[in-house]
Amino acid sequence: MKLWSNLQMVISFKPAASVEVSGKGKRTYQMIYEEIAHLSPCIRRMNATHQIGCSSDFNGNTGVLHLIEEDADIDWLNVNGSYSPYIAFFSAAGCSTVVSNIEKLLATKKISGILVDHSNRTRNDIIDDESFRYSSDRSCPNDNFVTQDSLIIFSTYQKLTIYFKNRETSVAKEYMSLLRNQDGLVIFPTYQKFIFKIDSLSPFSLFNASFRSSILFFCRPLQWNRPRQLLVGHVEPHGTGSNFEVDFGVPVLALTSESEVEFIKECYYNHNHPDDTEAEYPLCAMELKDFMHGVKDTPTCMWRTQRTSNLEISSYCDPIGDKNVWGFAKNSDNSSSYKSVILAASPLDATSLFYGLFPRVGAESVVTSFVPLLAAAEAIGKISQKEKDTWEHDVMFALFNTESYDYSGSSRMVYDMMRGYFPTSKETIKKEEKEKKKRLPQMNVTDISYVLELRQLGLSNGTYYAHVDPISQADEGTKKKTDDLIKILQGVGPVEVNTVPADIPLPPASFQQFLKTGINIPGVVLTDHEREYNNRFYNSRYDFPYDLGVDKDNKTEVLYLAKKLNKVAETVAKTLVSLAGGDESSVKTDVTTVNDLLFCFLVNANCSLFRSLQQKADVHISPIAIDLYPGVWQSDTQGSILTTRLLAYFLGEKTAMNETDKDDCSKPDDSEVYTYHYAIGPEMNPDKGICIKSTVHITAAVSPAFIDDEHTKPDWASTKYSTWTQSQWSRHPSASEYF
Amino acid sequence: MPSLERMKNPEKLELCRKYFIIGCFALPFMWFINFVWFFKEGFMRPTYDEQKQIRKYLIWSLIGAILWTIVIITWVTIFQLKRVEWGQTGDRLSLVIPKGML
Repeated sequence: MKLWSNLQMVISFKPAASVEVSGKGKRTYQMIYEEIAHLSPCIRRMNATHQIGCSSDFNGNTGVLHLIEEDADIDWLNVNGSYSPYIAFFSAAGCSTVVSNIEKLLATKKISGILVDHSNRTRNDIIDDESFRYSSDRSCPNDNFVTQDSLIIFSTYQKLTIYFKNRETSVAKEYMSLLRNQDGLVIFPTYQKFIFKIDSLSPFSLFNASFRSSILFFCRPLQWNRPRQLLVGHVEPHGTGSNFEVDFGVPVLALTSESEVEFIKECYYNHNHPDDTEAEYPLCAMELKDFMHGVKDTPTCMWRTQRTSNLEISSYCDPIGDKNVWGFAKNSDNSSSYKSVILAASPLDATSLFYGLFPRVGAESVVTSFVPLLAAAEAIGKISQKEKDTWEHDVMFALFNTESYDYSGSSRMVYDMMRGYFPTSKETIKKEEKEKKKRLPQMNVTDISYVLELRQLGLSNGTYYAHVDPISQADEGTKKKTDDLIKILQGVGPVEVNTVPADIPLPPASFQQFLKTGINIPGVVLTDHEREYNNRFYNSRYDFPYDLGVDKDNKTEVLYLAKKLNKVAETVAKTLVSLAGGDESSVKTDVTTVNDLLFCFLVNANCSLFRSLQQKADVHISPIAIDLYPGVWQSDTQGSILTTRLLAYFLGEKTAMNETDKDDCSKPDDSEVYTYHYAIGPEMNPDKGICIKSTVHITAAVSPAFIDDEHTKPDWASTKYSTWTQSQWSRHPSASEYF
Repeated sequence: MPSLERMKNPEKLELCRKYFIIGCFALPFMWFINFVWFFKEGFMRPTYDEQKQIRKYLIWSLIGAILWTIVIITWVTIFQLKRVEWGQTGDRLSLVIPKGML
């Protein structure tokens, strides 16, 4: 399906002029329909209980075009519109980001599809308005998780809902008696569910430690992805959850070409626009095709997918997932080196409501998180092996993938560590017992001495914040080590790092998954925000470099953002070295690298840095930014492949090698400790290639709910782990206009 | 199919009996064809020796075919109405699962 999707990208990014109109005369179809070339669909995803997103009917949805420029146009449709069904076209983007508007529109029952104008001008208008915020992620990202078997905690807008799976357990009984006496509490006895308004109680005083911890895990009492004060005129323009909670029931497509948007608008004004009375036939109409195979929920569609029938092979959906990329600084095959590591982590993926969208999203959500981490890896990679061998700890760099979908990547690594499968599965170890293959030693969560995670660092005013987990601070030893870590962070420079008040919970982070094991690990999540996100567009279609000032093609100039992030990277690198037991004073990050990384990920992947890591000089790389959506589990994305090479290049041992000898750059038969990559090298000269030997590896970033091996069976209805799947589709989504 | 007109009466009885027996192997359409094909022989023609037995086979064939039809129609109706509600069981009973719908 990924192949198909890539194909779709190629098709839709062809310039409009080359749409097949041969000189020999048009086909009838082309004379009736005007195909829209630049679009990006909202697709269907499923979790344990619901289907989310969009789909058209099998043959597509048709409707009369209705332009929505202001809220009143929705009311007009509801009261006057008599040519039902309609295709609503949101030309004012602000209007379409308000969930209540979409709900109102769908409630008219006169809608068979929705188009959203995401062309340059509208996009930039909206971003220039500094009071505007929008996110298609939830107000508490990655929030619907379980801490204890007996209860499930769900939070939505200003509400906290607690479900008891089994109300007969002693834990459930205890909580229920506590909860019954609360103000603002609604009890649904049959559903074993409690709902109460967050503002009406202070959870901290009420409950015992373990219950308090579950509340703190769930970003209570702070909603990270939501401004503190609602802005006038914007009802709910933030943390809408539309990508995770809304099933639209109709196809929704984003249009990205300005000329096509104008073309559709013109058609509307010439034929459909009501003056005093409703316009008459012929009317301008649209047909939207975006048919999805999966339906209902993950258990249903996964079961259908794995069912074998001898008549046909059908698949309906695939788990969302990619690869975690990780590697060690010491580059050593001495197994004792892996018994006490510092985990330096960041997320690697981003998402938005629309699939394969342009411009690429995730600029502040993730790129500003992992770029400083990669730059720090480069600085540490330059330290001599001899010096690194004297360190007390090793540093493990880990880029977690598919984190937007309920921590799939980090929860998988933790799960594998806990069951003794990381980095190698028990089956593989057993199989290779006789061969005496050398491998990286198995790692456990207890082997991690410290965690330093980077999350959203681009929108700082010069100060950064070190978030800690208030729950594990109750443990003396953990608190002391955390304080040491913060002291180093604050002491090494060059950036200013502040602590946050003790009643602020740990923000959404991969670190949460490590803490969820109950093992106290001292650690810090470094961010550019103290409380709510600075990012106005977290995991949404507006999270592209505009806000960060990277929309330039001129790459010779060092960006202001690069200078800022370089300083953070230096602080991070120095902290890691100092913590590991080395001398941090001479550690220096390279601002050119940060600048190159930003340019390559956010503007043009066909850049010299990425090209130098390919095997040949003439490899084709699309000259566009990288799509950081993790996609489905079968295929590795361009993002994770390139990041693997980058991390190996930064951390690994590089030896000069001719292109003709590149077969020598491969693993020996008796060892899996190192990975080998041949690259053409920065000079792009086949005679001056390099062989990179590193401990950088990739492992599955697919939720533990989908594991199917000797010891574990899949649990598609899991309440503990992410269950997100993506529906398949067979024809590429399209939109066309006709009369 | 041989022409009945050219057959002798005992042969007709034998053929009718064979059709009935084959129909017993869950082939109601066989019974139905048996009934239609031999209808003239069994009920319209003047009496002959084997007619009584042919009639017996035809009546049982008809009853069987009707019962089968009732059973099939009932099952199809229930299946169509309840397939979605049965969830996974419903899917298991389906040969082809539709895409994009329950």
